[in-house]
Amino acid sequence: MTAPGKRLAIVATGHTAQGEHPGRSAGSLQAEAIKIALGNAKLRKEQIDGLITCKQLHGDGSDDQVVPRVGMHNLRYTQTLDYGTCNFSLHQAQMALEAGVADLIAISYGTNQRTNRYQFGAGANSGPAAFTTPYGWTHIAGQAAMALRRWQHVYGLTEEQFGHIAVSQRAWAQRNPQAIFKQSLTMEEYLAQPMMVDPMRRADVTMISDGGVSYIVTTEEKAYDYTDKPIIMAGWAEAGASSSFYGENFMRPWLKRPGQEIWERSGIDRADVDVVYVQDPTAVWPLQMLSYYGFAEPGDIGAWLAEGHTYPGGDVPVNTNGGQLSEAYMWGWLHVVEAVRQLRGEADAERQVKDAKIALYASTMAWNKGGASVLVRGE
Amino acid sequence: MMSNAQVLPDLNDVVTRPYWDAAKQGKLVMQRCSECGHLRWTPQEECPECLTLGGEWTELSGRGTIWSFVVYRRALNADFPDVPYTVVQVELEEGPVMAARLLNEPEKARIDAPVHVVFTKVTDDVTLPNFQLG
Repeated sequence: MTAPGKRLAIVATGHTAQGEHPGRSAGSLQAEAIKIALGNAKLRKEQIDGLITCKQLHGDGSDDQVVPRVGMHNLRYTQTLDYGTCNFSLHQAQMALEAGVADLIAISYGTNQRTNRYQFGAGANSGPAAFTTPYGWTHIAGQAAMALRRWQHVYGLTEEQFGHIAVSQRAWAQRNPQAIFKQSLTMEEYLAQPMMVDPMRRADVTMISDGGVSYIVTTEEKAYDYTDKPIIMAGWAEAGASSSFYGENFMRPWLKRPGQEIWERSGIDRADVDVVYVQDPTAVWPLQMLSYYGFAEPGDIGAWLAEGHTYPGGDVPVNTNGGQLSEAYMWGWLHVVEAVRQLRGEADAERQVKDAKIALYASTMAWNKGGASVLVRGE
Repeated sequence: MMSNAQVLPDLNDVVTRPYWDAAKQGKLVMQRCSECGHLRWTPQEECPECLTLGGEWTELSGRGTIWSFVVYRRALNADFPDVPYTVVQVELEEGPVMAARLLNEPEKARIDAPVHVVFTKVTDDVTLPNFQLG
């Protein structure tokens, strides 16, 4: 476990507008987010001595591209992650801070995948993909639907129980001015939607959007030099997947390990968590992660969702920004922006969770790796 | 049924080519490790269990049960416009789970239902293994 003074502290976040940014590169959207985060922290870029960037799915946004673009001259450490979902970026930053290779780190992600018309549905025809793409088994929605059908079969999950994930997140998005999808989504309207990839509907899948996000992080002991409201990472955990892509791996049983370790390593009791964030390219991600991080057993998660815990006013608010299903598709980066707002008491009044002190953020990289962070309000 | 498959496997891949050559002859094959006996899917140079290079291409029964399935009701890929179509993951008798189309009507698909492999000729060079109920 990290020594208390060396724990990662978020001193500021910054994000661009979400939606469409024609003519902008991923690097430019990272740069804008970094500028906004620096401004929010009242920092000059010369003070930053570490930079960890995250590439967008189709490749660009690496540190060697972003460093000259943003003209940072005092960097002692730079790094790039292929798929940040910001959990992995936060964990990388924590290790750099503990190693003492940098003291004040900007981490960032940008994507122009919407205006760049990145084809999420297209598949490769060589390597392992040669055994999926020729059958038309493409798009993450098709993979998620495969996991959902199996979950329904093994655990008796109903369509309506599963629908509470999309419906509750829309209810939160309607309280978030930034969210892209704010139109009504009642359970009746959800169930009336046609299947897209049966058993999944359109509302169970994210839309594609452009945008950038950055956080400025340092150690807990230095954080108060920059803000009186730092948000501390109390603990983190990660896991790699089983070896095979097929069959049981779609149930992600390997998430049980970080699902237990996160509480041991953070010293936090799950029952004390005030707000929960789960990266959600499809609603299957919250379904599985809420189960494996201990909010309900896999066999009970459907009934638990139907009890309303995750909705506004519920006792386990989930994705209070609307998540990727309703706010914007930013690989979970905006989930942490929202967690920081909530823990600082700075969310819009209609969605601020009263006296929120502890947040869980959980994510995966598709079917291959996963991780979580517990974020707490600095005292 | 499979005439809409515009994306064909890369036959220049030396690692996977024996699989497609066998399919063309109406055989479903996978690599069995000569060291530990592990039957692996998908094809790769080494055994993922003991990391021994190579392995014997072994003919399988082609029988199994449906592990899970999905029905594309909306085309999410311009190369596959002919919806609905059903993709299944099949747990083979010999252990591995693989994906293919189910050639029966979508409404007949059930998890745990027994299926058997059938071979669909797509071009002179490419034959895709698929599954049928029963």
